[in-house]
Amino acid sequence: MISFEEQGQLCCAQIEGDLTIYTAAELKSDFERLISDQRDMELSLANVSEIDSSGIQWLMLAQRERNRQNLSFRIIDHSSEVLQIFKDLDLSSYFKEPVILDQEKGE
Amino acid sequence: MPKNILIVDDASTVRHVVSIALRKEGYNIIEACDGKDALSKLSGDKVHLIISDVNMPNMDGITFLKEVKKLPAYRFTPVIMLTTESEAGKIAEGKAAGAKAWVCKPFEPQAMLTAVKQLVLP
Amino acid sequence: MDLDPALQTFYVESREILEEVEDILLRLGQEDEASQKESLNAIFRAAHTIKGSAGLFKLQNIVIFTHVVESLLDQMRESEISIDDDIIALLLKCGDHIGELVTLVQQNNADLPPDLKESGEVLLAQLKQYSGVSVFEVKESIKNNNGKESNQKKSWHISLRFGCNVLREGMDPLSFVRYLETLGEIENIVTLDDALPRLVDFDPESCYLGLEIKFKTQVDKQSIEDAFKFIQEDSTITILSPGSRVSDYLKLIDEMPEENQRLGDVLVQCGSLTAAELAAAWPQPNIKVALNKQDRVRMPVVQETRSMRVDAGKLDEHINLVGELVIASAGAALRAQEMGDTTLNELSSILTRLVEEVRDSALHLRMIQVGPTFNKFQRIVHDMSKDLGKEIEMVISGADTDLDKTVIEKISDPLTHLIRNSVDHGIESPVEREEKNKPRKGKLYLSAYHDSGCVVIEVADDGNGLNRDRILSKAKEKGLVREDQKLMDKDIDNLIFEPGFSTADKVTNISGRGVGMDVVKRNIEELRGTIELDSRPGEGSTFRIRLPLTLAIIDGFLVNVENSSFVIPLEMVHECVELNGVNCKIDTDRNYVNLRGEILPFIRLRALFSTGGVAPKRENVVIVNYAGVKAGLVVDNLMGEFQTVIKPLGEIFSHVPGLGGSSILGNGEVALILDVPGLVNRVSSMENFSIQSAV
Repeated sequence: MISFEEQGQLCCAQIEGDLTIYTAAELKSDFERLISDQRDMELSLANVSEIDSSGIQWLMLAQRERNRQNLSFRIIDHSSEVLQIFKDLDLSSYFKEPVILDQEKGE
Repeated sequence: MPKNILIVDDASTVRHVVSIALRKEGYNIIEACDGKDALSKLSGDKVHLIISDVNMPNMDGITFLKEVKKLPAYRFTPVIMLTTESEAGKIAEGKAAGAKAWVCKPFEPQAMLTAVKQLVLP
Repeated sequence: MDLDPALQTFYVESREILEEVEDILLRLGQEDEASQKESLNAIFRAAHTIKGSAGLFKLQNIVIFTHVVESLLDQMRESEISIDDDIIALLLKCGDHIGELVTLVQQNNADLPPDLKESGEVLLAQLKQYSGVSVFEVKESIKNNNGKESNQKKSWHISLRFGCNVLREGMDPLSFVRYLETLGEIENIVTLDDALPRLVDFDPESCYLGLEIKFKTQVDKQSIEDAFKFIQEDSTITILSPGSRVSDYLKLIDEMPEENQRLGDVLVQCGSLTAAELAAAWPQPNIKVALNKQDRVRMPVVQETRSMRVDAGKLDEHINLVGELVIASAGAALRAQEMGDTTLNELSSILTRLVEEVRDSALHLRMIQVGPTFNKFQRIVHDMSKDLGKEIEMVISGADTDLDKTVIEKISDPLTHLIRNSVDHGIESPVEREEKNKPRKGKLYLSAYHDSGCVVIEVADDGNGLNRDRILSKAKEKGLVREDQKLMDKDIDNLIFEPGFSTADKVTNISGRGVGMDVVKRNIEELRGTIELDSRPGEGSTFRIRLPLTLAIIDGFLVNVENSSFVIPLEMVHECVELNGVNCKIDTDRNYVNLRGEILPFIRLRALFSTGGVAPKRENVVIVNYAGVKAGLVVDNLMGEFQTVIKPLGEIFSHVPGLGGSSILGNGEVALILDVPGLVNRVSSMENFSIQSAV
């Protein structure tokens, strides 16, 4: 399940529970909202208990679709598990590092 | 958190060997002696992999597999079928029922470990 | 790996099993057939279990011996070998022997003592007499094939495109990557999202990922291939060995679904190819390769165009909703126009255009080809001509013409009737034809084509044509025509459509089914279609059916008289002119209008529908054209094009001439849809009448 909390122009989303093949289909409507929301989007993975390739696929789709619409998207609070997956699949550059984004904004 | 693996075989020796081999690698093992027993053990806890024999009393492996695919919480659980060379037909049947991985008996514990690791890392 | 604890389990389990087998064997001789079968299954499973377990510890002596026993049991299970006391005695001895072998292992005796070896060989020989299975085959099947490792680490390139069901089958691409890491070092990995579709087409449980991996390892190719054993069936896996040539990589690039340039860049990113190597291979962007690839990409698309069954009710509901959408959008457009807001107007016109497209595509869903229906008639013609002793060839054309499914379903019966008529009455017998210098074989043409917003279906034959004398005399006999009445040929032909007319001299069992041509005509008119007949005595006749493309929605032209609105189907509107303007003069005495020298009949809608009121100074004429006949409809105002859903008229209005249906306007008012074919027929017959009376 993804919860959304609005903070002005920023929308803070948070995934609770599993992000796996078992939950992939039921997360569809949440991800649709996450992808189409026009505000800046911040997605926290702090409460993700388990993630697999289907979860990674969802994150990739969200990143790409928001890029396409020129909407901002940041993944924050990566668990060590997620960080390991990003490393294993070399996806860190796919999901832009938050630090770099901040610098861009500062300029 | 260690990954749970359910081993279903009527031969306690096979269960024992698989348990020893997999526990050593850090997996958590649940044992069941036939399909019926195994279904009763699929009750809520996550199971990351099922290893099942084909020829068993009470409920055979293929029937068990078909039942597993009907359970929402376990429908995507990967299954390794244990088959013998003489059961080529059973491999096809198992595949049709949703088991894409199989290990031929008699197997070496190391071979089993390899197959398991391809599907779930501890 | 220390398996000693498991070995203890094996000893205990084997003993239990062997005791159980002994019990079963001892009572096997006394059992009935059903219990025997069950017992044999149990013994077979017991042997199977011992063999499998022994294999875990590589206890070859036990495995080999048990395998031969198991084979015999399998044959007994399949009733290939019958149960007798001798075989039971032998199996009991085999059980004992296995027990001794187990004890031997337990005592840590590696070598087989000579006496045990000998007794084992005797048993095996006896077993072989029954089953024919030899020990050597067994040894062959228990071979060890470990992947050999060379000492040098080398770089491989692995290209993976996972099958879409990989995730659903419980496999995880991530696991395979991690497993690879246990075999060597992943130097570089690129995760491809190229196959990931847009959100609307995304199935969260399907896998769309691809991986390009540069992998450094000392294991051999077999070991790498084995890592993907479980997904090799549905996934595309390419493994390029160390030292593969650039051309091998180019082949890989060519075979993969991604754009060549893109994949080339990925391989460079992986480090498997250098930018220089790639640049050398593709001096210029290789257009030809790219084009070939595009062709190949397109091919499967064509092949994968599959149809899908949709419940007709759902489709109707969908089209109904689209109809409502059309009305709502017309209403919005009207309001937007009234408000005079430019932006709103623009938006509404975009909306209207989109709704039109949606409507067209929705209606298209209902369209099916007439071919299958036409082919059905081949059989009817074949069977009938055989029964009647005639020789008839059926020629079908325009089988790919699309028509609304409902129309096709409803037109099938009238067509059957027309075809039966042609075969029965139209085409002559071979002898008769030869006498007339016609080929023995008659021809029946069934064709469909599009013509000015309609679909035309023709049933034609090269037979005798209609016998006008007979039709006329029959009509007179039945009181349809007065004795002294003079009729034109066409009018005589059309008599066959009169209720209660049957042309057959003798009622054959084929066409004489009590259904006359009047029913055919009525069926077609119910579909807002018309039927006309063209007969050439001695040469044949042609029935021409005109049908609207669809029943649900029409493009109309909205006009108004006094306070009433009327819709004229747009495809029948020829032009609009001002009455008594430069182009169009009215001749009230002779009751026609003169359109640039062309004399046309006309109808005043004001008079026809008795709307009352007084005609405005300037009236307009809508020239309509139906099946080649033109007529003028005099109205007050021209309102313009209007797309509308046809609502059937209630029962009360169904006999009002000139009306085909009703529709709701955007402002909620009702507009009546004019039945132009009816009106045209009406005025053209009036014209004939007036001309006749003038003469």
